[in-house]
Amino acid sequence: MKKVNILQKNEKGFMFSIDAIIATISILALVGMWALSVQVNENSNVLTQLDKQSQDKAITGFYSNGNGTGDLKDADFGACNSYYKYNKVTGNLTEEKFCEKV
Amino acid sequence: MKCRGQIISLDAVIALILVMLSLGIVFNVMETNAYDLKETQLFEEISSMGKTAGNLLVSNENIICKVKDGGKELFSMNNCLDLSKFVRKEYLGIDSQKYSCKLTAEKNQTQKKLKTACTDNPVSAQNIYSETREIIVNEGDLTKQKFEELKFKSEKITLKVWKK
Repeated sequence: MKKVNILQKNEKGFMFSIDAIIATISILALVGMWALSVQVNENSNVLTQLDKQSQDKAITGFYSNGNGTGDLKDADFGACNSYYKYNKVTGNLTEEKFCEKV
Repeated sequence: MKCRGQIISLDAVIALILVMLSLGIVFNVMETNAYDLKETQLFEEISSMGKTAGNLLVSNENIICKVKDGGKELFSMNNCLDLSKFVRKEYLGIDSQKYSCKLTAEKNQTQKKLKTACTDNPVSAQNIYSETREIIVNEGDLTKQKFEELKFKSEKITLKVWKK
C-alpha cells in the first residue's frame, strides 16, 4: 500500500506540471499567432490603400505633367508609383515618383 | 465519514461553480463571435462593393474621357471623368435595389456639372464605405492636341456606398 501511494503521488505531480506547461505554451502561441495575423492583415489593408492613392497621384501627375512628390524616408511603410517624363529636347527620361506613407 | 462527506460537497460546489462560470464564458464568447462574424460579413460586403465601385469610377469606358483624333478614337484615359456623361449606378457595379450611393466632388464647380444617379442621403445609414479618388475632369471628348498639352489639374472625388 505504501509503495502504491508513493507512485500515485509522484505520477500526479509530474502529470500536472507537464499539462500546465503545455497548456501555457499553447495559449501563448495561439495569442501570439492571432496578434501577428491581425497586424499583418491590417498592414496589408493599409498598404493596398496607399498603393491605390499613389497610383492615382502618378496617373493624374502624368496628365498634368507634374513633378513627383514624397519619398519613403522615416516611414514605417508606404507605397510608390511613378511615371517617366520624356524630354523632347534632350531625349532623356526622368522618373517622377509619387509616394504615400504612414 | 463526516470529513469525507464535507470534502466531496466542497468539491462538488466548487466544480459546479467552475462549470457554471465556464459555460457562462463560453456562451458569452459564442454570442460575441456570432455578432462579430455578422458585422464582419456586412462590412466585407459593403467594402467589396465600395472598392469595386471606386475602381470602376476611374476606369469604366462609359464614363471616362476618350481621346479622339479627327473623329477616330485613340484611347481612353483612366482617372479622367467625362462630366458630359451620366454616371449610372450600374456603371459602378452598384445594385440599385440593394445599395445606395453618394458621389461628391471636392470642387463646387465640378459638383455642379457632375451628372450622377448616386445622390442618395446617407443620414439613416448604419455602415458606410467611403473612398476618395484623385482624378482629373473634362467635358466631352479630348483632342490629341489637348491631351499632349498636359495641362490638367487634379482634384478629388468621394464615393460613399451603403446598404439600403
